[in-house]
Amino acid sequence: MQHPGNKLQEPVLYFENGVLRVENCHPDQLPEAAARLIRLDPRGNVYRAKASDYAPLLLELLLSGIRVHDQAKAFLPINDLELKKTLVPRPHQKKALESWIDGGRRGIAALPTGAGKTILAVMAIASLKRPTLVLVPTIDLLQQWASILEQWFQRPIGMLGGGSHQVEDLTVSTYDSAVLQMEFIGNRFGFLIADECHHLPGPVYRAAAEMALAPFRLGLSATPESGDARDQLLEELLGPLLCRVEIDELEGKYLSKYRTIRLEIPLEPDEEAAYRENRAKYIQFIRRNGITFRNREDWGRFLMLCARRPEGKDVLDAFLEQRRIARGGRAKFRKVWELLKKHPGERTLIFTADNAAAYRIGREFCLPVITHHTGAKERKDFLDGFRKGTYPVLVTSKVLNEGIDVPEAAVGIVLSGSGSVREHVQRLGRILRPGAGKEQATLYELISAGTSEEGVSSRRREHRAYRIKSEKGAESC
Amino acid sequence: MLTKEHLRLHRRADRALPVFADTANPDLLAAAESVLAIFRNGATHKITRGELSEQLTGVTASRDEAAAFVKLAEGLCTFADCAELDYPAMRAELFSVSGFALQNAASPEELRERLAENARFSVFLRQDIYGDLPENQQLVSFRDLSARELLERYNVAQVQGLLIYARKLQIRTDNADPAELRRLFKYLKFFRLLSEIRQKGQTSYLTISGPLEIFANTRKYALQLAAFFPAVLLLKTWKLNAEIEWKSRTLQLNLDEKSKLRSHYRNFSAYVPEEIAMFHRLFREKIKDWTIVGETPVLSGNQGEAFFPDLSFREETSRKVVHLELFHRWHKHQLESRLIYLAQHRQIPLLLGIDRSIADENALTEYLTEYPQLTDRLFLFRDFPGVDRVAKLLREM
Repeated sequence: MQHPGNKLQEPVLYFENGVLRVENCHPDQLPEAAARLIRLDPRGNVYRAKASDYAPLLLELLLSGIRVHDQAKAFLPINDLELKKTLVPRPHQKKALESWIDGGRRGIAALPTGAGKTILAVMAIASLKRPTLVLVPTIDLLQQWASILEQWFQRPIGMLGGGSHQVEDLTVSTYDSAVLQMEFIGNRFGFLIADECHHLPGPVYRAAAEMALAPFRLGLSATPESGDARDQLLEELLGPLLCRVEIDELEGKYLSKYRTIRLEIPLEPDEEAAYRENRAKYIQFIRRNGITFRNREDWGRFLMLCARRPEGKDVLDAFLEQRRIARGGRAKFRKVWELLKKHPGERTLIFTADNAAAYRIGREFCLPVITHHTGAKERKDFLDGFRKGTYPVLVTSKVLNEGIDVPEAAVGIVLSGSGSVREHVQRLGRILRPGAGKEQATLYELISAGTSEEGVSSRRREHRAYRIKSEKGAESC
Repeated sequence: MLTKEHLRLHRRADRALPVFADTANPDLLAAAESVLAIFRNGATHKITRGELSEQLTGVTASRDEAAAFVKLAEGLCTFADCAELDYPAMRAELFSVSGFALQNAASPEELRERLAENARFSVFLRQDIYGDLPENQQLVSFRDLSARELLERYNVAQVQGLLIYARKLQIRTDNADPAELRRLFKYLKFFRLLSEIRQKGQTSYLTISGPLEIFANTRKYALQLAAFFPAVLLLKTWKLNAEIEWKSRTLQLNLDEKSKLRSHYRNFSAYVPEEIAMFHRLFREKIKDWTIVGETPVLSGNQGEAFFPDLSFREETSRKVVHLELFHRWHKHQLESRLIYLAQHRQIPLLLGIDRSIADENALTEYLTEYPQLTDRLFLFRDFPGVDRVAKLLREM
């Protein structure tokens, strides 16, 4: 089909609904590398390519001497995009930027929390001078990024998400909004940055990167690898891992010194008896049904069997009860109180595995709690108050695990959590940013002794940041 | 929408066979009725989510399907925050002193006692400082339905839950009348899905998916496909095939009108966006020589493709009818196909409105250079066309 204005029989690329439409171009007439990127779409009998294959497709065509009429790209260099303040990069930021440039401006930088990932992105944007879209997982990060980009570039910053729908040359979007909007704006940006990029390979979020033309890409995360097929997908979407900096390389220089203390706390006798009874019921059931939780589908199978077997409801209740006791025995709450008293005046974050425990602490100790139920205005008030010191202690379940910048936090108390290494490293990261008057950060991990939490704790500590800092505290610490 | 743990299906070879509820089964009807009674009673007495959840515990333990009934019934509820107190403001005031008071208190109990000495906080602390959490929201209304209707929704939801794992739907319908097809296409457009439509005689074949589907195993469009499914059930005859990625296997889901599934989509007007309703109202108020015709026809395009205009207008004196099709930003390809077709079939009284997000003045000039015979047929709009502009074009036709 001819498009108006297209008289030449040269391939024409259009961006349409988040994919490329390729006209005047039969795969048989193309070099193999380009032909592999194009498919016939029977819905309209047209050839299409993935938007994320825009750069390799264009390159292959041009290298083969085929002139291309590019109607897809809707971005141009921004020649006046400059830093409005002097930026002196830290050595690891400079190294990361160089690795990214050497890698063809496409790839992932693994930097620990507090190492200045945002500043690396600012440097990359300034060097590239292209319209840029930054993807972030939360609304808190959306606002944080927009504010930082505005400070450095002093120009309007677009925001997508949290009620904002403004697109500018530099735009920050939540992953959720990007998935919805990319089919309309995916051709407007030459540079795509994915913050906390380990979220990107999810079955829905990946579409945000697949529907973007952006030839230049940068992924940022303290923990990009998942150790499964998602790693390969992440590389396809953003490029390879180009540099990695570990927490201990920066400790004491650009990150706060830190120690991690694991406190094993015995359950009270009545809780211990209840824990054992419920655990036995649950273990018996999973053994009888051959559930090992070694593969991803076992959890779904356990829930399904609980729904279908006559004794299933009892077993599910038993499972939940033993987990609740292990995660939140009374002695743990007393220990939290002791630790708060031990660190007077130090900004402290308390992490829990679930909302119920977070609100229990909030109610008993009269403390602000941030969960996904907290409204945007109150969340901002709590975070601002924490930074200023009006609220010296903040309780959260999982929503502050990632990204949010609270350099004042010096003490972290993990009341409970999952076995995820990523979650545990991210939680440690919350207290590692250097802050005025902060000499050493301390992360306490509270474990119910003699329960399944011991194994959970060992699993989540399988990271260099913990292995080199393993310190077991006395119960009376 | 039901989630995986609520879905019941058998696998036979590579086929997925949803286990539907027998809508005449007295036991199932009784279980559905028990769930509905708790929701009805809850709405009457404005109970909280927490109380509702407690009351439902016994019922959900009684049958496999009951948890799914509860999930579906929750979708018919409206909850409201308790408005008696400005909780965030009270908390801000309390926390501005509690963090420091904590250091001088020997125990959490003493902390709360000390804080309660301040008259501002005494009542607040005695109640619940997080009393505005969802579990404390009140059930203020419930869109009631019969036990049988709940079972019907359950059956449809079993299919919708599976379609979350599908990438496309293939539908065949025989002898569908224009009104049926029009309704189906309106739903397609509403859910922003792409379709390949082929007509062979009286049979229409539709392949429905999202634009990225041919490349990526994305679930981006799955919710749209699932939400679209009840619209298929409004057809008199239909056959559906979908490939379901289920637990690392690909299963075929085949259903037809004999599955006895009943749609709860009754009236498309419930989904008509506000700007369309406003266009209708303003047109009625301002334009006297033309009226909007209730029914728009299905028109046949190139290569058996079917399309339908968004609006049809009739001139009062001559009874001449003119159709209008609108192209928004996700319809660029269809626009180009329609331009070719209309250039070849100028006798069709069809106006094409083009959203400025797909074409600016320069692109319109290019289109008109390419298709000069369409000079009086094309116009640009932003979001939705203005009434005066459309009326002017109608009069010039």
